[in-house]
Amino acid sequence: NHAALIAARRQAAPYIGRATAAGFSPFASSAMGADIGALLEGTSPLAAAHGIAGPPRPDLAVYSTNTGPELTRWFEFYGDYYRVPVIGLHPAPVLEEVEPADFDAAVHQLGRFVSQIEQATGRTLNQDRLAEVVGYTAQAAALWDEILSLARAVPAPFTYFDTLVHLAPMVLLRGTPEAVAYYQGLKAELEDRVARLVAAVPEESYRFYWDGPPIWGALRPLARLFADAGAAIVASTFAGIFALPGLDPDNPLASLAQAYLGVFPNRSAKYQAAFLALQFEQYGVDGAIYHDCRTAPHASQVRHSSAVRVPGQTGVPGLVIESDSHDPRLFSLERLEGQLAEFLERQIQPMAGSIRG
Amino acid sequence: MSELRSTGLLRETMGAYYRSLGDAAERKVAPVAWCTSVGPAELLRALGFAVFFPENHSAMLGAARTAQRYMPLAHAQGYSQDICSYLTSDIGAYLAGETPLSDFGLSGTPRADVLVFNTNQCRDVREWFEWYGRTWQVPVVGIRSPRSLEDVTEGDVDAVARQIEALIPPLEAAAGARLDATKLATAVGRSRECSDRWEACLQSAANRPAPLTFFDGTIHMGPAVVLRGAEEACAYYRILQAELEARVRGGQGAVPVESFRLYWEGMPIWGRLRALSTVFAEFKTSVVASTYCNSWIFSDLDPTDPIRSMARASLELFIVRSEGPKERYLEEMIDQYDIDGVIFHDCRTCPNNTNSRYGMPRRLSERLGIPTLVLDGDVNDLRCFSDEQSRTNIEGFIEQIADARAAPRPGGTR
Repeated sequence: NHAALIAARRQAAPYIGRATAAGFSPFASSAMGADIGALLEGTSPLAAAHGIAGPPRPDLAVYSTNTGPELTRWFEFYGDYYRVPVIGLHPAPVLEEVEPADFDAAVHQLGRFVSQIEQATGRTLNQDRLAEVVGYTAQAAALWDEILSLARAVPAPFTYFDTLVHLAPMVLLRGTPEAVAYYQGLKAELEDRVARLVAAVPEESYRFYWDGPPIWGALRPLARLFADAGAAIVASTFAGIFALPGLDPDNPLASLAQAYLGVFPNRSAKYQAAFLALQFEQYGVDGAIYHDCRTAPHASQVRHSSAVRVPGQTGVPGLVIESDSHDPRLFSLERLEGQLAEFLERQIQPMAGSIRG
Repeated sequence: MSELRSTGLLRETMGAYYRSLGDAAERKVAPVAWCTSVGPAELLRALGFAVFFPENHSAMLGAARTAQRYMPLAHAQGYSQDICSYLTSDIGAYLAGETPLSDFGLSGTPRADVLVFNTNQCRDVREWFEWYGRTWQVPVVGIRSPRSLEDVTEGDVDAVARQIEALIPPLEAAAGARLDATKLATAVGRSRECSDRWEACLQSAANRPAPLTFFDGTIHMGPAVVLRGAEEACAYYRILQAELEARVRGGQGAVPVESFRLYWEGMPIWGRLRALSTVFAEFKTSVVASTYCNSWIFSDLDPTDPIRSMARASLELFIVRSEGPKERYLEEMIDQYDIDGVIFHDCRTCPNNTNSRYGMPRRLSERLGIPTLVLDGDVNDLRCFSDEQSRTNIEGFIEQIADARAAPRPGGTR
């Protein structure tokens, strides 16, 4: 979240440069580079935005490899830098189905994880409190899922770009009543928009899907670019990750294991292709944008042929864009404008014409 | 550089293996299983499969420099130029209907009855095997191994052992045979002997001068990759080990003059093995050890506890571990082989087996005072490698080591 904030404020480039000077390759995760560069520089956008000096010094650094193994490297860096314990979850990756052996192993790992944290903090996990926290997350996740589904309406009452802003409480505050309250309010507002046929993109002509990481440093120009083309990006794999299904306060640890094991980035290409096909149908999309994120190989699912396979299965054409989540040097709005115009002209408009005409 | 006498036997051993794959796939003398390089080969062998390792096939395509022709065919199917060039070379060669195995009488890569992966090395292997599974409509099964482990715990071993056990019923169905516990123990025992002898061969390079280099290792590791669990591999390494011991006794080095000793971290650059080995020799340098060749040492294998020991061996590997254990391992190797400098290969299409991108060279350098060099390249895609640039970098690196050696060292330490 801190790295995304840095990129969204267009401060990533010098920080990534700082991390590169400290030995991180230009091919290392730019999210990690931006965050570590800021840490080494001793500055943070949190100062200007919220009046705090920077990310709080951790007593513990905790990660899961369910969104990619490079997270380990990032958190090991924090552990060394701050001299604090680093504790990780290493779930079975590349899953087609979540098989019983994968689930049992994830539950076992969570049990060990709890013991490690108890040992590091000197505190004992209160099961009732865990159930309460999981209950809040379950409520917020269900609300977030319902909210995302509201974009199935035509016209869509909000876009992918809106979800990138409004998922912040799900990322930062899940497990709290504040997140639940926030999403209750947001859901009511969006339901009202649906009822009144308020369109996020005036004259919505096309509905798109976004696969791959966001381009944090260019959200506003991208939103404008698509809106100007009459294209509403109505759904994304990224925002959907946080609609963690199946969390159950009556069975907190097991349901946490299940939910975090099954996230989209932890699945095989076959599962991911089937998931995309289902999403395309549910959201009625005309086209898909596949972001090949230069410094995030594990989050760039498109590299494993989804942009060829999924259109073959669904008839939904795809546009692959090469860019990066955090490194602005790898993003060109002009190039994307050209690509989008050509995509609309050659692939989307003829198809829309044949359906509507 | 004198060729090892064992090379003739190596060619015979590998040739017989490739011909046996042809017998299995084309004359149907045995069912065929594909296996990732550090997948559960012993289990497959015990079930009577002829076991094919597509990574070995890809390395052949890289070494023959035909990969360049094949990769675009896979890119055209939507596989990115940035993903594993082993995958794109191999699938491309299949689409072109060509294989170097034709030199051994095969009409193509041996068609699988089942494909068995282990994600302990990366996700790409599963996606690679799934492509063939779809193409041939055959089962793809495997182990979804945890990754980036700091410690290998009993819980991790239990989880992987359970996954290996779960493979047995579908593999028995594909083999048309029941698993015989004695055969599994035998295969694991042979794998262990192969591993121990291969380790002894590699460790002979701890001597000065080193009797073999990393470049020799990448060729002579063939039987440890494709024939582990089989007697033929053990037989080969008994001969190679004896030859290397004789070289050590005779003070015979792999390079004519060994002034500097380097470690190679990362994947080989298959299309430039000979060129690189010549460059290093020219600079009186022996690349005496590597993570890559060491990755076929499975010291945890235990025939009295086959499945759990296979699980543990698959998890203890360098590639499955986090930065901390990797750095400690490299430190141990630097000490054991008396290394003057470490080369990190930044392998363009293999982020999983590239360890230079997250500050490790600098950390090692600062902590141990050892020079490091990051060499840009790729395992198979030679568009990512420049002979001239690499030569210049290597030359500068050796000069740096030589200058440091010539300068007075405070306290006499490195």
